[in-house]
Amino acid sequence: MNTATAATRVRSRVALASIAVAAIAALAACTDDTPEPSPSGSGSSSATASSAPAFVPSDQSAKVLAATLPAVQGSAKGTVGKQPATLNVAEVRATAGGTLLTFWFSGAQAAPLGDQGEKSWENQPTLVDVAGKKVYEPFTFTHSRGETYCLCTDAAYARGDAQPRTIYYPALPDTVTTVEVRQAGFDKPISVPVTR
Amino acid sequence: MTTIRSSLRSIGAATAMGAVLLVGMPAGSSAAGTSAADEVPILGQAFTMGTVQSGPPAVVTVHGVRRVEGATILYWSLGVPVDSPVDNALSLLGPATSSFYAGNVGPTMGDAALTDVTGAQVYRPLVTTEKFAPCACSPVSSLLKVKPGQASVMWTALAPLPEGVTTVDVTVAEQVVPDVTVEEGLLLPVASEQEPVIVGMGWPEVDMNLVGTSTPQDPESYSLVGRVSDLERAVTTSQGEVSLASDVLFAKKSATLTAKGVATVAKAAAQIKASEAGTALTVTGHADSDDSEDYNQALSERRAKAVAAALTKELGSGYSITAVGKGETQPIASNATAAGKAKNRRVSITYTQGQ
Repeated sequence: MNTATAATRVRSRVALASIAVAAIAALAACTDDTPEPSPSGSGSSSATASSAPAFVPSDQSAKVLAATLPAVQGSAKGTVGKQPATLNVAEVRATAGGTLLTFWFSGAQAAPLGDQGEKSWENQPTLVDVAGKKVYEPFTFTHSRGETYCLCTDAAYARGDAQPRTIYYPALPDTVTTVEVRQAGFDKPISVPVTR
Repeated sequence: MTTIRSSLRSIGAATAMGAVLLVGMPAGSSAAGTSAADEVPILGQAFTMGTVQSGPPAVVTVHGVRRVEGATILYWSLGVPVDSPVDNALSLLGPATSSFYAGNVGPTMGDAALTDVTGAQVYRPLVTTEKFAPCACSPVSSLLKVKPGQASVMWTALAPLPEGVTTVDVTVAEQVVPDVTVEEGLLLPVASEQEPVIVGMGWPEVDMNLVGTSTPQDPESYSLVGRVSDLERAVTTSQGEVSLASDVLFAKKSATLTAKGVATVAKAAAQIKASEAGTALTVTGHADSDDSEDYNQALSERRAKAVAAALTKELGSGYSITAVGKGETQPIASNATAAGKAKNRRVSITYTQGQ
């Protein structure tokens, strides 16, 4: 399973004892005479010490590190930063409000990507709905300094192992099941299914 | 009698200082047969290699987007794979991330940002008045001390989200993590070891004093622009605007519409009619930064007038059309690249939806 793309809540067990002990210790000075703070969190519930689950700190790093990169669904050879490279598309995912592209370049030689970073939305890949005859470009915003940024990963160069990048685009119509990822320097569009 | 009021709830900023004793969990995360309090929420993940050239990518995980008084707290972690060659997790954050802990708080993509696509806003981090705390966020040691095989949880404070925003797309560590539900209150319990806070050991202690003295930036959010164009890239539609590529409308340095330009204006007029736009339209000419400012200003004005005239013919009476030129003063892309210049050479038609 690609945990990175499953925007679901993955539950990992974290026992709860020692913090409860700390909490009880911290509460030692809290008596019935002490006014209760009024919780502002939604869905709050109350419980007594006897029903409070214990908290035992436990390193759960492995749970998050179990995530794996999405598999490459399509690739094309071309040129980036004046160097031969491969454009790899891992996923085009429809989200609640947009479309998320996960991709990376690979190549044996270092390819500078100075013109393809966060300030160069015009040079980023586009998503093309061929049937609908529409081209989707990255979301942008204009910084108060005047520069326009895309909602995307900055990049310095393509070299070595995969440098995963994400770019956020406007939402595709619900009926679109496949898009082409097009990138200047890569003649062949990469057709990939839209993950929903 | 000592009372523990809740072991299963999150708390808001207003009560955080007096109620740090509470053992918490993410709101609404209960599951049958599983204590809600024993969950580490993973609300979305992405990967980053930053400037590292070999080895597996780091894992970026969003654990919470939580409303507190005057701010929104993002909890996220950076996980360094067991076999990562890095000796400094900062290098996994990428070329633009240096600003994350610097005074120039973004959002550049290295900073945190919260995007509300529906409201078309990108919410920025808070800024502090503290000389040595440029951002209201975890200390840099949270990354310096994390070792391969560990995931370090951090927090950062951003502008408060409007009441109606229930889901945001998070940008952090230069990656976009979409569809994160906005919840209430800080995540608890606070970890006993704070630098770093390893996933599962509790949560970072949000410095609510620092948050309380921090303020949203000006502006606290940026307008989000989403562009969709036709295959020829001649007509591009975004919120309340139809933009026409000058390279399609005109010959170089000319302000006379080409035959294709006339057809393109007709296409735009059809879109405006179909979108039920208001009847007050503004046609604005824009130029790239080639040539002088004066030349670009004059050219943009003439081009705007040409498009306005053609648009008037297409739309007929009932529309009020104003033509203005902005020269090279309002670029939407970099003028350092050919592709960027082409984007900047445009005539935009703006309107108020449903006006």
